[in-house]
Amino acid sequence: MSSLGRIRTIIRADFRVRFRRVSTAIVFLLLSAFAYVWLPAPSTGRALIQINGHRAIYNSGAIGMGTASLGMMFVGLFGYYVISNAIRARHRHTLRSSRRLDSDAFDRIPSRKVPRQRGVSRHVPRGVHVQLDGDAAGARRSAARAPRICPTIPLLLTPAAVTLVSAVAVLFESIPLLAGKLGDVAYFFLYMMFFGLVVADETSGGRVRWARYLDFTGFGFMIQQMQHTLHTEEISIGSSAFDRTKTPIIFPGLSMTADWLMPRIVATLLPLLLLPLAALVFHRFDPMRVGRTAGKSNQKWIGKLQSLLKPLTRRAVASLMVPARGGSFAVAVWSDAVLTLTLFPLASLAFVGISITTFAAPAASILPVTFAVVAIIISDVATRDVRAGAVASLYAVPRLRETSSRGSSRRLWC
Amino acid sequence: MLHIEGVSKRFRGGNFGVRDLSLAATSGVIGLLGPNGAGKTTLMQMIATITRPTSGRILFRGTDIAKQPNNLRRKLGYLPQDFGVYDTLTALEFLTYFAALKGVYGKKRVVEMLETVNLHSVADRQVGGFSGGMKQRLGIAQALINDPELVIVDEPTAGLDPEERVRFRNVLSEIGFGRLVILSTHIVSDIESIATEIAVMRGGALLMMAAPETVLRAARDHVWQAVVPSEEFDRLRTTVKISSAVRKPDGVHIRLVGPEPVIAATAAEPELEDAFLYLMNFGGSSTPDA
Repeated sequence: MSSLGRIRTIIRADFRVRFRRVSTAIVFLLLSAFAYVWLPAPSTGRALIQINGHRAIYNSGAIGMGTASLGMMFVGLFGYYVISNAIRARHRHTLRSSRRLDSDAFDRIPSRKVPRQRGVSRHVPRGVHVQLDGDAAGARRSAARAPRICPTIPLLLTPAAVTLVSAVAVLFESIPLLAGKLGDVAYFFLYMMFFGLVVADETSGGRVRWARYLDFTGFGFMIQQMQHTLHTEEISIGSSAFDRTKTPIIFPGLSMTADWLMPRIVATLLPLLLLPLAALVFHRFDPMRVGRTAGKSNQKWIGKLQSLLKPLTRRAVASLMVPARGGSFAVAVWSDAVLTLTLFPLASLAFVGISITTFAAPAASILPVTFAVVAIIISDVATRDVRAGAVASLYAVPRLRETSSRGSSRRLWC
Repeated sequence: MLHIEGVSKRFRGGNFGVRDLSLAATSGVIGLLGPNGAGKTTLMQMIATITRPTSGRILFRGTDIAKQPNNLRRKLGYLPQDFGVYDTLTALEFLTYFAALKGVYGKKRVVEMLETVNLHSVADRQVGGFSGGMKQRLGIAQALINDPELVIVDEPTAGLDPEERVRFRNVLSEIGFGRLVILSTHIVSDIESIATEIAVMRGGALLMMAAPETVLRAARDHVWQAVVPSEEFDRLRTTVKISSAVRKPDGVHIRLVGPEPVIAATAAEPELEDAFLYLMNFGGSSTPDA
């Protein structure tokens, strides 16, 4: 089978796997409903875009802008986690089935573009559909059609975000240390760093010219265009209230200018430089070896650190684990909390460290670290039973949490 | 103690995992035997209140477990087919956690259980480094920590080496006194020495539930043994049901199962493996015998 044939087969199988699930259909319908809410009828006093209180008429530019900005957020914030989890799940599957898939991870990258671009692909057609047919807008359609503008805006904004999340996800999943929760947290900060850098620069007049080359999120380009065409920064996108006394205005959409052409191309292609780096550490694209190495590496770094700390925390934590007669809500909560501390000696240490630091440092400076630590622990708590394969065992014990929660909520409400 | 009345489990696609199954059990070790896909795990999950029956009732001490699952759960020990552990916990920490969840008082009981399953010497080792057999023994310890009246063990020996399998079988036989143990497997040797009753399932239905002697009687006059040359053995393998074959200098010693011997053979006393093969291939009727 030719390479194209293989890619076609993989994409077809991926499509079937995803779209034969009821959950996918529900998410698809919910997103469609969200897109409908995203475009409120002007009679409600709300509009998709309002600029200085003026309602932007639903023309191609406004629709395209709305769908593109939604797509940018989906791709930029959630795209990484979608592709990262897809690669991770693939590793797990390969390890479980003990089946070596030569060059499999990179062979599948074209198919993995399907989820990666799903946010865009779901909203771009919606915008195009709304524009060409006018059904969702219905009576809301109030300006002439300009079909080319609508799909052009997402094309100007989102490709850089798509390549960034794809390349970073592949790179992080290739580096054992980052192929986990640390990578998830690191990506969030990376995204916020690029976002903050470009937006801060554009709102202050675009003095740092090279920052535009790092405008992967597309927000810098969007803000500069707004300033250029509308001479304002007072704009909101999404269902928001407008001033009925002010006249509606026509939003002309975004257009490529000479000084933005090169930054947009560079921002789209720059993340691809991460792929050779990923290839260097991807163990010749053998996901099975990468998965094993990831496990070992976690054992090596985090595991070793946890093992080192465990003697320090073990006695303290063990004294907290008090088996109790009968089930109660307090026992259930206590057991889970102690389990978390037992599994994460680092959490115990962080808890003590943060508590001590609060006496010496202002709360504002500690909050980001506290949030990061809590985010890591909570993300682990949410999935640890499934990852450990302990769900069936837990389901068979008397439902302390369920029954106690019900009891507690009854007590709260009564 | 346990009454199952006309229980069926129908999946979303319309397939039945279990179809109109009835049985009753009091105490002892029930070996639930059946090929892969027979519905053993589905039945176990329904009894363990992990999933609900589509129709029928399961009564534990007269209470419908679908309506009051916690009544059973307090008396239940369950070792699922894919038993997982928190890798970074020690055996002691793991058992203490489950003891707390099950409302068991005292560390003494945890230590006692570790001794029962012979893991006391590794109580402070992380369970991530345990072998498959050690994890299974830890699984049976968590199942027994609350001193259950009903123990459900689903395919416990899958993936274990022969030595671990024997050790695990011994643990199960020791715990069978005074409680009801339901042990599901597709490996006949797992249950032939410890089961007081054997339930045979096929296609979601119960073919037979009886004492091992009765199950063996079902295959009487349907088991033969013969010695055949290797070439004939290769031909026979595809045409008749062979329950065992051993190559020896004088040929291949085989045991055949079926209504009639198709070659010159002498009648043999059936073993459980023969009876199981016979019931799977020639036992058409469901004869629940509580």
